Amino acid sequence: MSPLPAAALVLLAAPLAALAFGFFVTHRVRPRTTHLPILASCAAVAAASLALLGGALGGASWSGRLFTWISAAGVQVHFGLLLDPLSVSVLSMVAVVGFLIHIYAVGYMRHDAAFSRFFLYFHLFFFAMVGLLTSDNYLQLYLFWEGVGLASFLLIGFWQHKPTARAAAWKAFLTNRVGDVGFLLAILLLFRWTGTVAFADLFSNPSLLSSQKAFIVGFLLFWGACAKSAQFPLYVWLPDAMEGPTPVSALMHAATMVTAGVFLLARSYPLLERAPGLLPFIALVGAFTAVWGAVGAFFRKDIKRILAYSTVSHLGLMTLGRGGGGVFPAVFHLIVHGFFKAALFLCAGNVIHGLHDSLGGAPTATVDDAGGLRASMPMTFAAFTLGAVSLAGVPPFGGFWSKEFVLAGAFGTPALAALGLLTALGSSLYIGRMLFLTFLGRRSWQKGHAAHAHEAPPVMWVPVLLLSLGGALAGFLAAPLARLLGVEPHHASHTVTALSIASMAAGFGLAWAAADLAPGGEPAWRSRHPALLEAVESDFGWQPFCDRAAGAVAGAARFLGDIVEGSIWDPGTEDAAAAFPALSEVLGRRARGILNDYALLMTAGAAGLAILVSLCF
Amino acid sequence: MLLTGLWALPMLTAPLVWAAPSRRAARLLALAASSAVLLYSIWLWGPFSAEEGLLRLHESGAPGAYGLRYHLAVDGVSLSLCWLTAFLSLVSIVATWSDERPNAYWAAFLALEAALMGVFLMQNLFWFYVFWDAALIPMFFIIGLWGSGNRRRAAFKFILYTFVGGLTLLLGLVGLVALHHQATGAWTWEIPELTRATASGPWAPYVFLAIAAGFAVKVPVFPLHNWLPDAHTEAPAAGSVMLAGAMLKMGVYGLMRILVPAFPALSAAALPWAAGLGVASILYGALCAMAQKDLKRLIAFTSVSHMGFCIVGIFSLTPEGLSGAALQMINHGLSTGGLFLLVGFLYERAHARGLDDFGGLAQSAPWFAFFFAFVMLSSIGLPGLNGFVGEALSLYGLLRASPPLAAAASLGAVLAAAYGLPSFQRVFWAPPGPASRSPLVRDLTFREQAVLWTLAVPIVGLGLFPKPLLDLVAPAVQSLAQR
Repeated sequence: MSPLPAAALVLLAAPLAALAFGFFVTHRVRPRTTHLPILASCAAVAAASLALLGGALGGASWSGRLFTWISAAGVQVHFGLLLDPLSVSVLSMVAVVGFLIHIYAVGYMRHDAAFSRFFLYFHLFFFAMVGLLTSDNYLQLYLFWEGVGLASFLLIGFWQHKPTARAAAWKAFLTNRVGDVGFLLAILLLFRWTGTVAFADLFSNPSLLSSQKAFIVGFLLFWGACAKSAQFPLYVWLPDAMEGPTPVSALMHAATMVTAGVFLLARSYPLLERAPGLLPFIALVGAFTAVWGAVGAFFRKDIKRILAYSTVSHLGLMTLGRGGGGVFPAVFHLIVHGFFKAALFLCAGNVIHGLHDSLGGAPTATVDDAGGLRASMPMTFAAFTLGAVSLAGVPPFGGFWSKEFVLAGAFGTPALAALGLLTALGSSLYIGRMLFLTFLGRRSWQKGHAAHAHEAPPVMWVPVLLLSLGGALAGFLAAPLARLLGVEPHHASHTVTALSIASMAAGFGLAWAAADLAPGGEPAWRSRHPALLEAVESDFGWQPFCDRAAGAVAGAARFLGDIVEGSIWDPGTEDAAAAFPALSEVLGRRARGILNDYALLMTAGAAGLAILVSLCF
Repeated sequence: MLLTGLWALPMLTAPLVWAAPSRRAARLLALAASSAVLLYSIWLWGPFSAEEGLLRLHESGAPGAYGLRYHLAVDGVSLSLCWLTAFLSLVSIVATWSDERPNAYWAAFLALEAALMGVFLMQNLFWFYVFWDAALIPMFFIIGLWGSGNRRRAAFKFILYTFVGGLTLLLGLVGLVALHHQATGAWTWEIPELTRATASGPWAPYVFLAIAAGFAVKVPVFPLHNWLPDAHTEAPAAGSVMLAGAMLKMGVYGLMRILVPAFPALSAAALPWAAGLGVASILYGALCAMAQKDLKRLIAFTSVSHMGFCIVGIFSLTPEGLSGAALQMINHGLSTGGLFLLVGFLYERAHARGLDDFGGLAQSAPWFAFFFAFVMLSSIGLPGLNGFVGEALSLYGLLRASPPLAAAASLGAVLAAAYGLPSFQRVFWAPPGPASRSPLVRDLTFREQAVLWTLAVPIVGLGLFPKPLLDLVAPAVQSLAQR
């Protein structure tokens, strides 16, 4: 470990400076220019990350303390940066993808009245993620983890006037807090059992934690990651989170937020490894979530919601990858996914933007609103296609390679292998369906609408194309990443490759059949199974169940706050207070001025006091 | 004579303020006095650091009959509470500057400041109690004379509750002195002496309970909290700031200064019950806050929840938990003080406090929205801001003492998000309600912003650099934990 280079300080200083300048100066003086300091900061962070990546490929890694944060007896926490191969590799992806999404957002948000506020929130999101990736201990990571949560709250609820946006923002923050409680307890338990939360101390000395304690801590960390990284059962906030502007979804699903949990588990791998049975359990949850998300994505019509469920599914794959095959498959898929998912979301943004007039300004679109956009939006079509084939795992595009590594790790266990292959099939099925319905097929948007769809301006399609190219070519990153992480990747056998390609192809075939591109109306299979659609719409009852649970807590709150406080405590104390005047009334009637009474009372009182005193001493 | 100035200066200025020739002169004098007290209290850090030992800056008169003696001293915990009191007094006066209040109003705040200082400074039980009860009087008038609609009911509830609590406390304190006499044969009211020897005997548990109940009313601990929502709701804004920000700390301070050191064994034995009540306060306060429709009532219930963290921190009897409690006292004073100020500014404009009266203020009053969100986030324990450090340390102390209770208390973090963010959303994001359409609802004025920025500095400062404060309270906390 070398001391921190200047580039490391840029990572935090540039966003902080840009946010302060934006908030205090441009936001007040020239709100239309707030994006300028922020883009400069993005560029600085991206350059610094790539410089660090170069150094890391040369075998360097850095760490250093900045200042002491908390110091109270057994709790000593220092604020510091840790730039090891893991953080630098994820950071590079986040910085580059984040930068491109920032550029895109300039075009997308150009006409929004709150342009300046948007960029401040947006960059806060980015800053919190950079801080999260570079933290050198769990508590500092938790600080930025909560910062990511706060920024997501502000951005999901960005269009404040919409009740659905307000509800989604709250749901996201609340669900994440449910997970954060686990994370915080894990941190406090680490303090109690080991006296430290610094990664360097914890991981250099594995014997600090017994395997049983490692299991408890690991499980709680996983619980926290389940919320942030949208794993079953805490994924419920993510599908609603597309209420924010589309660049937010892109940033959230690709670079910041949902990748935080996967990163946390990758960071904690040495600890998870020590816990018996935990990694298989994590892999199983991941595999289940992967299939669950794929099913959700296939039946949805809202284009952003399809992509949201697809993220749930792919986060499941990453979790499966780490559970089955170590850090490398998870991190590799995280990076590849970051590129293609950002591209896909921004394409969805272009579609919404292009259909703006015919949608009447709605912030999202369904596959029925779109259709046949291939001709009018060629750049977006190209980018989406590249992203889609990458996501589906068509060789030789990026997603193919990362999925191979995930499946290779999973193939030890038949159940995991089956779920993994099912996800491979599901991925090409839902993304194929979306591709066909949106860009091929009928031109439903022309029905009754005078407006024509139009291609997005270059500021919006160039970043998207770059992102999708990044996703498509990401296979080349496998070897350097493996070298960086110091692992010998476990290559898939030919059987696995053949099976996964077959699943992928089957998925596309089914998608073509299911999409039913003939003009007019629903595909026949959809209208035949209304009950099935309804069940999928509610995630097989899981979403309503969560709503009911939240409603029960709110009901308990109303019971305590209104009924117990208002009808029991308040009258209770007030009646007791009213008893005093009544008592004085009674006593007053006793005081009739008869000397004998007073003498008697006085004697009784004195005797009582004497007894009390003698008892005491 | 260093410490006497802290309570004597406001006490002596108060009658002058009352007798001032005009309201303007009264205000100015109050401002000058409270600024002087704040500067003076900060300056005291110098002499304080120059001394050694736990209790410093001793100042005492000749011993009187029955061990009554004028004796002042401070340790890190009481010094930080003096700063908080001086800071919030000044903030209260500046924040309500434009209210047309009579002279007595400003005098009452100085008297309150003096009484609070006395509580935090006195090392003689007798004098401690004199100041303890004296603090009730100005607060009674602040609520009863200058409060809102239901002020009389609230003021009487406040005085009855806390007076009965005070009597219980007095019984307990006299009992403590008697126990000490029984054990040593000497009469003393000196707190350092009373807490040096451990009180014991068959009556000790009853004395312990009486003192604990007396302090618990003030904190307040569930189920003795019922006076608080009404008092906070009806008090004028600055009154709520002082009540929540500084006055509730009297109870927690009493637990740390008197109860726990005098009865270490009983405190340890009481852990499941005391920490259980602390956890109950955390959860009950948060749940009640979720259901409130009046902003001030909502913040009042969050106080119950936040003070619960102080209780669990103290009764964990660990240095981390006690540090957390000491820090949480300051943090709660800043965050809750800030929230009451903001609601006060809002009430001044719209004469409404209901959550549903407002809406859409983020558009018309962005600075309001910014500061409300900022202070609310500090209050619900967002790491990086002050609230988190105190809560996390208290929680850690509790975890060392009782993991299941700590797990239960941590649910308070979820509930905090469940009351904090919706209240922000309803006032600032939701569609405008009747009150927010009023043209009187403008954004913060320069003076109001200045007050809030001065609160923002310690909120961020203690969130990221709590070390100086933690170091300041560390010796006191260590000696308490070792008992």
